[in-house]
This record gives sequence, structure tokens and C-alpha cells, in this order.
Amino acid sequence: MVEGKAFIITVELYFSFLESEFGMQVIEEKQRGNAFYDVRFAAKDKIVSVSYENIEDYLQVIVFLLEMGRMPDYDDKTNTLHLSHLNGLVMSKVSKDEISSNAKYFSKWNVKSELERKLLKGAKELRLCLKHLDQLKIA
Amino acid sequence: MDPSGGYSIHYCEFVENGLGLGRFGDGLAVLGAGVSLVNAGVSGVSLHRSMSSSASELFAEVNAASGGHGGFVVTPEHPNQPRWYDDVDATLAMFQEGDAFWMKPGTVYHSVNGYVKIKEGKQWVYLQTKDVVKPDDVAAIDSPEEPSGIAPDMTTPSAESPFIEVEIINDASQMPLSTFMSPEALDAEVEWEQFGNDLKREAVIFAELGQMMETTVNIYVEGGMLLMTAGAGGCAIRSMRYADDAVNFVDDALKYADDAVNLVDDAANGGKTIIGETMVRVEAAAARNPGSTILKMPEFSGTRDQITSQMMQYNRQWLLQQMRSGRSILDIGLDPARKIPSIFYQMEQNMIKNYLKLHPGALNVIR
Repeated sequence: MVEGKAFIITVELYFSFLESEFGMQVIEEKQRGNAFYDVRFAAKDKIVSVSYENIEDYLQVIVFLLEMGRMPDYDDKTNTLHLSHLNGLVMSKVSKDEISSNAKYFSKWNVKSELERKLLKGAKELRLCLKHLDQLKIA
Repeated sequence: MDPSGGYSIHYCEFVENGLGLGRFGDGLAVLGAGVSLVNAGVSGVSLHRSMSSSASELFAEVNAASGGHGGFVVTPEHPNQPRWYDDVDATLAMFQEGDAFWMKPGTVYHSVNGYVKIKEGKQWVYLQTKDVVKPDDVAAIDSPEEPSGIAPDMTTPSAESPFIEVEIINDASQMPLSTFMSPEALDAEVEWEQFGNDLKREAVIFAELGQMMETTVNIYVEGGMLLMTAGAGGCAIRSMRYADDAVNFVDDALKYADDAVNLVDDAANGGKTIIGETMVRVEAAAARNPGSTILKMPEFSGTRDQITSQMMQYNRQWLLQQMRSGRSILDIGLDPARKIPSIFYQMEQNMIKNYLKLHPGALNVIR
């Protein structure tokens, strides 16, 4: 179990590159009791959601590509991009040096829990994916 | 179990008093050693070994663990104190975990007024009994530390505990039961017949830890469980087996009452109730359906298992309210991106299925 505040702080720390490198801003820090947490970062054309279902230990990192400024349907696979899917598309386009450089960027943080490990992994993957997002053909 | 050793003589005096009123019987036995729970002022005590040795099988799993947590003790009023709760700390000091009566199956112990206290990292509930033993007797229930082998999740039925989660409605607001929640509307996993006499008790709960709560709580044993019923705000009654659940329930009941008010507002707006797997997904669907209602889980406290149990209960109660509201239910189904199914959504689906079995055509479920 992780408390909502701790989750939000960790997400905003590990995913701070969204603000510094991709011009996004935190637009929502949602806590539904201690059941569900969701931190959202937004730019003009996309929203990144990092959410966690506490009891079920279900972490999701999703990139929503906005349609005319509006949120897409969750089940719209062309505009609701789950990190696991994005990661599969991007990895073939990324060089070893880029992976190494990306890992170095995140080496300043030491994880203290399994959830933190998952969050840091998600942050690493998302950073690479966003750098290559424009080159992707998403079906 | 061998209850023959280490009785408190005071306990036995109390049991004798109980027998004198014809309320306690063969199902009672005494556990624990060195108990001096009742008071030091009792004289002329006698040991009723023959009665005490006739132990019930109830709660065996609770007491099989070393601590005997979850025990149930009834104490008489302290002779030097005008009201029992004035002496609650002193009583507590004498009361140690593992001291317990077996309750007689089927006996309903009515109580009014309660006192909730935190001590030694546990929650203790004292309930003033009513018309069972004598007016000023007190039921004291210590909170468990979840001994191994006891499933804290009360939403999971088992052979030992067939009546796991009972949620029936109380009528504190004087509304006819049929206008709000009737027991037959609840899902088929619950054996309502067992609790048919407990449906119309009035209850109002105003409680915080360390404060008196005004309520009607009835305690009884059925199906191998210690069951308590309580209610608040015309909303909910449920059964439970542990004192800390009772404490949590007080909070829950108040939350349910709030939900009931919100429900009326939502129904007036004509919105849908949205359920489905994965919260992000449900929230997204709600954003696209103005006026819709989704589950908004409150904060719960306790161990992980306790929180899970509370969330399941809350989810269950919430969906039941939604189904009875007559509002359309938009079920957005499984999340194809999810590898491990959600236990909460599975429960919701089971509830809807059972509700429709009981009330064919009563729900408008949009899938």
C-alpha cells in the first residue's frame, strides 16, 4: 500500500522530465481515497496519465493524444497509447547509446520500493518513447 | 479446546448471574487465565464448572491462535461507578486479550450505547447491553490482530463462515424499508432468512473514536460467526466479526448515509451509473457522459487486508444502491489492456448477475 501523497510526489519527481523537456505541466493530482491515484501532465496536444490502483497494484502510464483538444476514448487504440504498447514500437528505433544515456539521466534516483522501481522504469521508457513519438505509426 | 483451567472466579460469578436470568446457557464457556475482569467487589461466588466445560465450537479458529483475539466478554456494571463507561479505563486495564466467553448460538445480545477506545494499538468496543443480561451490563470486544488462518476479508465466503457479509437496511429515518432497500433485493450470496428478525431495528450512529456513540447494535452468533448489526442514517446494517470492523463500520455507515443523499440527487439528474474494469477507464467514460455517477472510494485505514475488505464492502454497498435506484447502468466491460482481472469489477459483475436473478428485468444494463 502506498499513500496518495507519496505516490504523487514520486511521480512528479521521476516524471519531471515531462515538464523540463517536453513543456508539459501537471494539471491534475487525483486521489480516490486510498484506492486510486492519478497524476496528469498536459501539453497542447497530449496528456500523460500516471495512475495506480493501490489494492490491485496496477500501474498505468498512458499517453492520450488529444483530438481537437479533447480527450480520446480510452479504448481508441490510435489515440490512447499505453506505455507497454508504445515501448514495443519504439525500442527498435533506439540506439544503445540512447538507452545508455537515458539510463544515466535517471541514475540520480535510488528506488526504495517495488512501486518506485516500476515508476522509475515507466519514466525511463516514457522518456524514450516521447522522443520518438512523432516517428511512430500507430495502428 | 479445553476451557477447564484458569477461570476467573469473577467470570463464573457473572455466568451464574447470567444463568439466573435464563439467558446464558450451555453454549457458554470461559477462556483465558487469571481473569479479573468484572470487579473486585463480588462476593459469594461459585464455580460452575459443569456449565463452563460445555464449550461451543464457535470461534474455534479465532481462539486457536495464541491471542484469542476477537473474544467477546460481557461485564456487569462496576459496583462503585454509577455508569459503566465512567470506569472504562479501569475495566480495560483488567481485561486482557484471550479472555472470552463463548456466546450461545442464536442468542441475540441487544445493546445500546457504545464506547470506542484505542489502547495498546488495538481498538476496543464496549457496548452497553440492553434487556439481555441486565440493563447496565457491558459487552466488551477487543479488536483482533488477525491471527493466522483467519481470512480478514469478510467478503469471501467460506465453509466455516457461510454468512460473510450481510448488508441489510435499517429504518432509522422511519422510511418504509421497501422504499429504500429491502433485504430481498440484495444479492443471492447472502442468506437473508437467517437475519429476518433484525431488519427493522432503528439506529442512529454518531461516533468517533473516544466518544460515545448512540446506536443500536445487536450481537449474536450465527453460522459460526460473531455477528453484529448496526445502522446509521437510515442506511445500512451489516454483520461483522471483529471489533475493529465495527469501528470502521460506524464510519462506513455514515458514508453510506451521505451516499444515499447523493444518490437521490443523481437520480433527479437522470444520469447513468458507470461501472467497468480499470479506474482510469471508468473515469474517462464518466467524463464523456455528463451527469453520470461512478464509484468514488473514500479513504480507509487499517492493514492492507482490512482496507481491501472495507473497499469491497463499500463497493458492494454502493453498487447495490445504484441498482436499486432504477438508474441505468452503463457497463463498459473488461479492459483489454489489463492482464490481471480486477477483483472489484468481478464482484460488480457477480452482483449484477445475482440481482437480475432475483429481479428479472429490474435493471437496465447497457453494455
